[in-house]
Amino acid sequence: MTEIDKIKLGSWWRRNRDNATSMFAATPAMLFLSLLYLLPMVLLLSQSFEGSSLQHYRKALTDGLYVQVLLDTLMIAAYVCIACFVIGYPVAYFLSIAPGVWSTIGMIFVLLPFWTSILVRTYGWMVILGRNGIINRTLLHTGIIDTPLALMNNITGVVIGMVHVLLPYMIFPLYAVMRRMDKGLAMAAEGLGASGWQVFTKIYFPLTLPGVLAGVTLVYVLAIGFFITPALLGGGKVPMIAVLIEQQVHTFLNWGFASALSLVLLTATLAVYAVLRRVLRGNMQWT
Amino acid sequence: MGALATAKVMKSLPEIALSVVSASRRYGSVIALDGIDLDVRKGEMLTLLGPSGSGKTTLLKVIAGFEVPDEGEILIDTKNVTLTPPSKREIGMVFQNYALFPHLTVSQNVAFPLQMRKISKFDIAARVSQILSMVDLAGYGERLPRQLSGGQQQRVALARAIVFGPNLLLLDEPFGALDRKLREQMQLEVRRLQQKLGLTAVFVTHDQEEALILSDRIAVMDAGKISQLDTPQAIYHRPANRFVADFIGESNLFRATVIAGGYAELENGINVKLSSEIPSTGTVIGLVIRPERLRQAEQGSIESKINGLITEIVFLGETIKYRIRDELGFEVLVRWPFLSNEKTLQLGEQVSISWNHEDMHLVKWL
Repeated sequence: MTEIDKIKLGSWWRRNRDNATSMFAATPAMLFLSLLYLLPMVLLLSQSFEGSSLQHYRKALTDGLYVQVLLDTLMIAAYVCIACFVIGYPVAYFLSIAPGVWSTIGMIFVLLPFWTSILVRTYGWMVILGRNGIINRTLLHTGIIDTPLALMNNITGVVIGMVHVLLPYMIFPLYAVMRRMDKGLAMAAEGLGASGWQVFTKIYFPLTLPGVLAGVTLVYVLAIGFFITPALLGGGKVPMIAVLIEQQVHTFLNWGFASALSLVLLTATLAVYAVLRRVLRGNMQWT
Repeated sequence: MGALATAKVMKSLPEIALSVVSASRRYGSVIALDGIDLDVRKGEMLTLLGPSGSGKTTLLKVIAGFEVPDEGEILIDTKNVTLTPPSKREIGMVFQNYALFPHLTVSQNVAFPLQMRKISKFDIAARVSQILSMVDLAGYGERLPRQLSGGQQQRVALARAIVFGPNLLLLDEPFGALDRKLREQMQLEVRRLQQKLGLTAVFVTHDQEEALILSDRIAVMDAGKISQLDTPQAIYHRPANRFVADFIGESNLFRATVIAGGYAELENGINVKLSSEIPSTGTVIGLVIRPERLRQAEQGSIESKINGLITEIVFLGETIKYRIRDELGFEVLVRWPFLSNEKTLQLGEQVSISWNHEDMHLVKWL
């Protein structure tokens, strides 16, 4: 055996030993993930194929009702996402530039609801948006309207409630990106002749796109699978797919079909994520 | 004759590209600019040199329009632009960290100021490729800033700042992030380009060596004021005051008292002849002499002014620096060319130091 062979063997041995060590170190995490995520996933999958194999999927993907609900879900998630972006972007901008105290106060206003139970907040919205809710009573009382507005048990109510819950998921990634932004860039653009609007459209906004991608993805993906808010504020009239799944399990005890719907939802979510990544990444090769 | 003579004088005077007229700026109780008056001539490179906190960056921001002075005016080509926003001042600026737009390619970065001026696509493309080859970056147009080295990023920043033909080029410590060799190369390159294009430039730095290399004139700033405004040679050899003498290069500053007969007495009791402008007897003055102007004298000779021991030796390559101290604790710094090891003095060796009185420069002590 030559010297070189010895060295090669030594490094091979070392490499394998290192691999073995890291495998050992990863074992608890792997076990944890397998038991709590992978196993249920596999059970779900096998359940969805019960009976005459693909019957549940055929129903989920061809029955007009379920396809419609899936499309509605994607639509509502899109509304929520757009509303979160339109509201969240200026809020994140304010938080990123506000001087110390104001930034902290603003942050508390964003965080407090974030830490409060979704259920509590949703019931709160029912009090505000209901037929005899605060908004309608105020408007009726002041004579601005004659009949109460339908703010609940429809898409409007669901979107309002969901936006409120999901807004922080849009704000935080945007805030992170904006805080890191080099102020010199806007100054440089201005010095080179750009108006305030041009600085925003050509420099500032493109540079916040990574935050937009993160925020939009988070909000959209969470919105697709939302349950509590559409169930309560929708009053059963806004069927989103998560509501439907719950119904299958709870009311019809049809576990197989519920599993199939869940996997359709999971696939749709991953597809949306892939598309968003592709579309927004296209503009961000610089990151 | 009077009118004609005046006209002639007017014509021979260089045109003023930028005037700062008694500009002041305060931040709370801190006075950043204290009544600055400054004229920058067309085509010259003027350096604002000073330690941090001297107000040089604030002055640059006021000129660029990122700060509005509390008092005073800014005139560019005799037009008052004090309240004009930066985007309307037609000033090219190179920032300390270059501030290249990370999401735009080199070409797009350089094209940016042209796009803001609604120039046709065709002209932009031509202008961009012309300027990129001028800064030696032809073929780099499609790269992103992060794919470039520090020196290349610097060139892009420079190209972007001059591509639209600005009235004025501002440089805010642009060489700070580069290593020594590259820095020297870029300094000369910037200087060459500035002279070639006849650009009027204001350059901010705290590096006095850089200022001496690059400038037509230097404004040394201290505590929001211009301490001295002159050519690099004059600043170096005839500092106006103690601050400038101390800040620019290394120097020996002696406290002395004027005595009768055109002499001054140093603190070690030696009398030195003053060459010119002799203040009244009894005045306390400062005498500045550069370390390289001192020479070794015959020990005990009439011309020897300081006799002491070598207490420190610093080898600097082509020169060698000695600190010499006499028994009264009077210290002097000398710098001589390094000739050979044999001719190098040793630590603790006794030396006598002398100088020509015309190499000595008188400054106010206060």
